[in-house]
Amino acid sequence: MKKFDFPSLFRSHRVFSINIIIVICILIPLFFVPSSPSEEIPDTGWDGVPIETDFDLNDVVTINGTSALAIGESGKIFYTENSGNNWSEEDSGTIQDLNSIEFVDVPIAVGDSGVVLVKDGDNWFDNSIVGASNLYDVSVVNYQSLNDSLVFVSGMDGEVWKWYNNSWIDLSSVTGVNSDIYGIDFVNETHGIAVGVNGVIIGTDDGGASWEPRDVPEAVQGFSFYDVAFINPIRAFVVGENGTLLRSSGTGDSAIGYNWLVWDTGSSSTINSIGYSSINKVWIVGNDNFIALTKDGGKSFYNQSQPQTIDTDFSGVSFIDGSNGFMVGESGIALYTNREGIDPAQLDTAKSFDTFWVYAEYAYPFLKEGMINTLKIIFLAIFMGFTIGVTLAVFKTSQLNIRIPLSMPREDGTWNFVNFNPLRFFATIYTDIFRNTPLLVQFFFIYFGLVEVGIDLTFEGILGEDRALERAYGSAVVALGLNSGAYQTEIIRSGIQAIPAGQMEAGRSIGLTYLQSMRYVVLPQAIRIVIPPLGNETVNLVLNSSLASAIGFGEITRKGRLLISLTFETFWTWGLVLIFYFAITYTLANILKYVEKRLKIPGLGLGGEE
Amino acid sequence: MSEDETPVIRVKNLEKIYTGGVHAVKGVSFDVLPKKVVVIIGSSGSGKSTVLRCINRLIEPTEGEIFLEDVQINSPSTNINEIRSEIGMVFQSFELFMHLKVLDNVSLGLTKVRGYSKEKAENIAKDVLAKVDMSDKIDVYPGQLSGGQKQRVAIARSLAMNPKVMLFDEPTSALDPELIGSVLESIKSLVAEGMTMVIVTHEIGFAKEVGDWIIYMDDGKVVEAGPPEIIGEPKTERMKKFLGQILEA
Repeated sequence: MKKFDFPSLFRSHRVFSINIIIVICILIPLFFVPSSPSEEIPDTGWDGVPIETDFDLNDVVTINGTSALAIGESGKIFYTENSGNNWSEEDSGTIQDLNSIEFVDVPIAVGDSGVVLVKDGDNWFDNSIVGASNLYDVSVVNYQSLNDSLVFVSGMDGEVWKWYNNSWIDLSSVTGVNSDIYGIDFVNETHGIAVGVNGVIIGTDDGGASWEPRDVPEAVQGFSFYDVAFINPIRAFVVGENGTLLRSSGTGDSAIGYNWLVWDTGSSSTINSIGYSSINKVWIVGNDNFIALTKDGGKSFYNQSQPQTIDTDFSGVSFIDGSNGFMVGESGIALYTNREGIDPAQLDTAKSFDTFWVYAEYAYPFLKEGMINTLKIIFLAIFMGFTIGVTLAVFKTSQLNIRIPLSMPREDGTWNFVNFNPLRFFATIYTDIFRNTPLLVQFFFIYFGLVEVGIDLTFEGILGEDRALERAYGSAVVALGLNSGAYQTEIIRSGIQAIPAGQMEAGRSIGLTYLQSMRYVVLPQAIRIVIPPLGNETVNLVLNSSLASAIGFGEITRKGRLLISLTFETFWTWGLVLIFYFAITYTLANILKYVEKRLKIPGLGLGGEE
Repeated sequence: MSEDETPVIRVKNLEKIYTGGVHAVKGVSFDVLPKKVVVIIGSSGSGKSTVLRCINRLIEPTEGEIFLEDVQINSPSTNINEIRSEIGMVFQSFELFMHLKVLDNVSLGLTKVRGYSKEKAENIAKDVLAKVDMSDKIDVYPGQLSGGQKQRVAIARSLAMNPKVMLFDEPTSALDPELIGSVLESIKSLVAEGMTMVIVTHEIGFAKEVGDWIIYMDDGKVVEAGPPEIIGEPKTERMKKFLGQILEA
């Protein structure tokens, strides 16, 4: 191999060039290890499983990993139990268009002219609403039997009906809406949301007895909304025209559905339906072949590919778990996936990555974002840790003593005292706790635990609603900062104790107070002495910041995991992540070396003479 | 010594028992009159440094009273920081602030305690550094000075605060013999200016030369006290023996 010609700057610093060689040693295998073998990776994320009909399909419900029911125009109902390889038509007993289907113990479908169908055993049973117009959506809260069930339906001109106590109750007059309601969903017996044409979002907290309009963000006012998913008491989604996705989140008891935020789907097509397997893993489908998946609750959507070449409008999507699902659209089009709809080969137009460079180009934006996030948390945490460290180190070395009598006075009138220093006591408890528990558990406690008792680490109160931090971000900074603070306390304390007592006495003897002597005499010397161990601690903090990935903060390790889930290139990905970490810590270490050199004072510390 | 003058420092029945139970000072009393130099001599462990440090309360006295003019130093209501700024202290091991240049060492107290502007403080600092013949070293760190130079800077640091009395805690003990002279010269020039001082030292000849009142301490007590002549003709066996050891060495 050709000898590397480093600039003289590098050559003059032996340590520097040794580290460069380490980086190169990591880089070389990255270049020479080939891409992971890609045997039998399907072309697309979805398999076409068309139904032999020309009618449009309007909705689908997945019953288990391989079975599904699809409904469509003219009362069509199709059933499959082998992943869509064969579809059999079922006798619905109606020729009205069917618009929506749900499966809670039994399938229930709704359609035009008040049609409501319930599948009882092998047959569809008619439970239609007399006097109702076209019904667009159904939400089954529970179903034991026909006379012990709770079902809501919504439809044309603001109609909402409730099936309860074996009869249909008309709630249309209390919704306050007389335009079409396309979507309705109840999370439990009392809380529900309905959405529709012209930007309508209404909600109920009392089982439909009363409804009130909910605030719609200005950016999407007047848009039509086509589906709503009230997933659980802390999360709901609404989709509609122009690629609109709205999300509402709540914590604990606070009701959600009041505040809606617009999330970017990266599409301008109309979105028709929502499918989900958890609050974070959500599929949305719509017009113009639009299918997208988010795995982080809507923060980022990735478009999915499917074998359909003609422009198709998809009308329904349904997932039973994290990987198996169906979707349907115009003219009998049906699709099935057993792999989340994710298709490795189609993720990037560059297809598979033949060489490391091609892969690196694809990975760079992910890793860059992760690196920026990592830098953000480490700088805030270093600052926080240093502040805590200096304060608690001063606490620990403080001379404040409260004399606490141990018992009654002795016979000669003197007392038995114990000296108690509350500042040192507090600092000791703090450092003992944080240094004797795993950092990962501290992360979990701060992220998952504190929110339970109402401690909100988004800092919304300080920063304001607009600039509030992502909770994982705030938690990561606080966890790292508190933990590093404990270690920095011990380091700075040792520095303070290394300064001869005479320095404090000299400061006091010219009239400085204790704190002034600390501030102007002892600390400036102590901190200079402990710059090397503080540097070690800073490097530790950077390495520990990778644990923030466990609470879902998008720092570089988490981005690495994401990259692997997208590309399956484990060797290259983790190799690059290693290099990114190395770049951060190595730069940091050099900055600290420089700072140490700049602050060096002749005669202070070992080897101080120049 | 005339009795009509108010002493600058008055020590009355000073007792010090350390937390470990060591009884270091046992009922010591003496006065320091204005413009006079009191020299305390005695063997190691005789309690003389403890007495000195009790005067500015670097060590908390157990019993007894200490006054700076009419203010009782060891009373809880006294602002000790204010008192300390009136009492200069020079340490055996110099205790210069290693991270500050010579000029900043001397001006720190003026800016932070007296609240002077940086400019005013530095002017005063330059003046006192000139007095101890250190004008050419104002811009170096203490680590770059010899022991004798360090001690002269330390003297300047105390002097800058314009103290009413200066305490010297074995100012030459940590110095090489050839460096002692310059420090003693600086102290002598202060004596000539009429600075009130308490000096703890092993330099018997120096004590005789500058001292107006000599106190010989042993085992925490004042064994003998009097004008410098007592060094020539000690009355007690203990002092005689002590002087003998010093002169031998």
